[in-house]
Amino acid sequence: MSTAKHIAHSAADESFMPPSRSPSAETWRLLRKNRMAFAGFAIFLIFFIVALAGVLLTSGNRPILDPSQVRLQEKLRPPLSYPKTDGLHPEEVPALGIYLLGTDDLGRDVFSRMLQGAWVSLTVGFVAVGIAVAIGILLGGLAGYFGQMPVRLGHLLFWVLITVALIFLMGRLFLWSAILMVLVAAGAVLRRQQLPQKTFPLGWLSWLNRPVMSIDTLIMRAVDIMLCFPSFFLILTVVALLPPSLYNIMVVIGLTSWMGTTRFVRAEFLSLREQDFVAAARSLGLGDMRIIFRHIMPNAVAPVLVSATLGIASAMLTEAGLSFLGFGVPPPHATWGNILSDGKDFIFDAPWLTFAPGITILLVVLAFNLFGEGLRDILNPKLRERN
Amino acid sequence: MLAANDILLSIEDLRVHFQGEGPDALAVDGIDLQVHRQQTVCIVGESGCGKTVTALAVMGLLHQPPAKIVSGRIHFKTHALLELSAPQLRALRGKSMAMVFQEPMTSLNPVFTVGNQISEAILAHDAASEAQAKRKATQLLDDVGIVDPDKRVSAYPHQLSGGQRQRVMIAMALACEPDLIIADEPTTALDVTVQAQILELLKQLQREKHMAIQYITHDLGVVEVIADYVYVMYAGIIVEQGSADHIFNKANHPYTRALLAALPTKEKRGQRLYSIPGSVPHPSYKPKGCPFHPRCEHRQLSCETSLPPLCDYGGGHMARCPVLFKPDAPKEAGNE
Repeated sequence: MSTAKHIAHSAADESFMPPSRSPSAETWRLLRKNRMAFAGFAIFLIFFIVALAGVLLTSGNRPILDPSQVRLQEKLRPPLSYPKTDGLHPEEVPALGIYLLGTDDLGRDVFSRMLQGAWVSLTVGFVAVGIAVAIGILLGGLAGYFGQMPVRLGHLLFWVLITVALIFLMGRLFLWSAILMVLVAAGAVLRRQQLPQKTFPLGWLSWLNRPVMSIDTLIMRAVDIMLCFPSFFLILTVVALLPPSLYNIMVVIGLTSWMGTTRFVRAEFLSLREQDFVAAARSLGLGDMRIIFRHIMPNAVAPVLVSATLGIASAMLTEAGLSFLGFGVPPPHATWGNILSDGKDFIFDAPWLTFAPGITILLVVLAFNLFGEGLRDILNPKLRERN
Repeated sequence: MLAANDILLSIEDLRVHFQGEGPDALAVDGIDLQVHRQQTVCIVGESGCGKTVTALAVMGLLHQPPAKIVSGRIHFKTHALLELSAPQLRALRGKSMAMVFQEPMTSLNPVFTVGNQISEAILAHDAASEAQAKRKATQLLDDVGIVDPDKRVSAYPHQLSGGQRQRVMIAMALACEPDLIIADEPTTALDVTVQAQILELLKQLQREKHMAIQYITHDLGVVEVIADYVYVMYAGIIVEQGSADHIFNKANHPYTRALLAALPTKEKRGQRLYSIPGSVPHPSYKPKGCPFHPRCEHRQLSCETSLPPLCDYGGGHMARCPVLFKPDAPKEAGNE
């Protein structure tokens, strides 16, 4: 490379231009500038690591920190006290050699129980929000992108029949289920044939083509209906009916909290699909799916991310509330909610039983909320320009 | 001079209506139009005269509803576009016909690099690997005159200027070497010097890649620079068509004449510019007969009752005005 070319090259590009950053690098830079959000993010990271470490340390047949080890003579020991080792079996002695957060009324180590609970909170938060966001993106995207398309009577009938067939299948009425399935398949095939409307013997079926409402109406009214239920009591009812387990709680919380995301995604899609770059993508001959997932989705992801972060905090709160009321994860397993619940009887004798989970919940939820709020500011393009 | 089998795109009696509250808006109300191979055809007209709707109808990009193609045929190469299924049409879009939009600032997806977006056009139609597509994208950026394409290929749209972005849009349209490029006012959002550069680029690319260009604009200055053949549209119909020379020097429709009279020129310096009295009729409430008659100086009683036929002046020059029709080459090629 000659010197002259080298000089021209660098002069044209690097010297007088701000450094070129990718959007993710830019987001990271803004996150570090926003102190509250960064603090939230840091707490979130610490919580994540602690929960991961917790699940490793407290699970298995002989966990290093056993959260369910009962030591009755050691009950209600305050935080940072040393165990009286003379009265304990060797395997009952806590691995740390100290009760970091004291013990509860059965002499169980609160620190190990908090660790075990951290994993519950983390998974409930993420899985529930994962379910909610998946449903929200799907429904919101449908309502936003295909919203103006009509839902026809035939479509409704199709789904009703499928649902009934599945219910029959679950009730082991295989014959009825099979009959309905055949009916649905026949209907679907007939529609595919695109018979002329007035052809005799099928002309009378044209009522199936009657539009009932738009896809947008269907989905958004479903959202409105879901929002009518006070969701905590809805969850309580469902959880009371189902056998108590961690997975049921995750799924139920997820299935009752997708409405906000749906609205966000729909709103984003409504404005984005009218953008010129979507028209340009269509003029290049790209298919609908590619446009939705590659061109619109990345532009719509910011508000989803924000609502997901806030959603994780609220899912954790809901889980803690359920556990506190005794509807959560079944008892031997510790969660922050049931530690709190157990501790409330001893609030004056052993305040650490209340404060340890209480302050942790407060901190983690606050961290998620701060991070979410910060993310909203950071991902807002108008604020981006200014910084 | 131009053989019939040279016709690349032909539109016959296209009518596009928009449904809404009140009567339908007759955005395009029966137009016939042809684009020959390697020809530059301009469609000129005011905002709302149906230029863009025509282009979108060709590309199959009209939102239906509210738009409704009431009648007409569009032939592109061997395809009858209005009868194709959505996947067939999609295979043509971007491959053999492409569009350049008006707003380069918003027509690029802000979250992807420009190289990514050009590659996507290639990958959508050609069996190419990502690496090949990326190389082709760099080559295309070079073709459209972007300096240092190796670097620019990984730039985000916000890092480029308006002119550069429009060049990128053109590169995207060129990606699969289409036979027809529809350019919808591609220079309107740019300043005049950049506009001249883009026009020059389009002309040069047309020579190199043997494309036809259907150029939509309201700017007669642009038309003068690039057009081989011109269609003047008013309120959803074509009022005059002819070579650029015919339109600029021998205009025979009062609307075309009025447009030309409203152009600023050196001779008119210091004078008040001519403006056409009245305003464009709303597409839902068009006057009967010739849509221009309420604003026309030459109107006669017959103009108010029936749409005048196209009067043929020979040499491909036709105008929809029998009042001014002085048959040098007498023959009425009108329909209706």
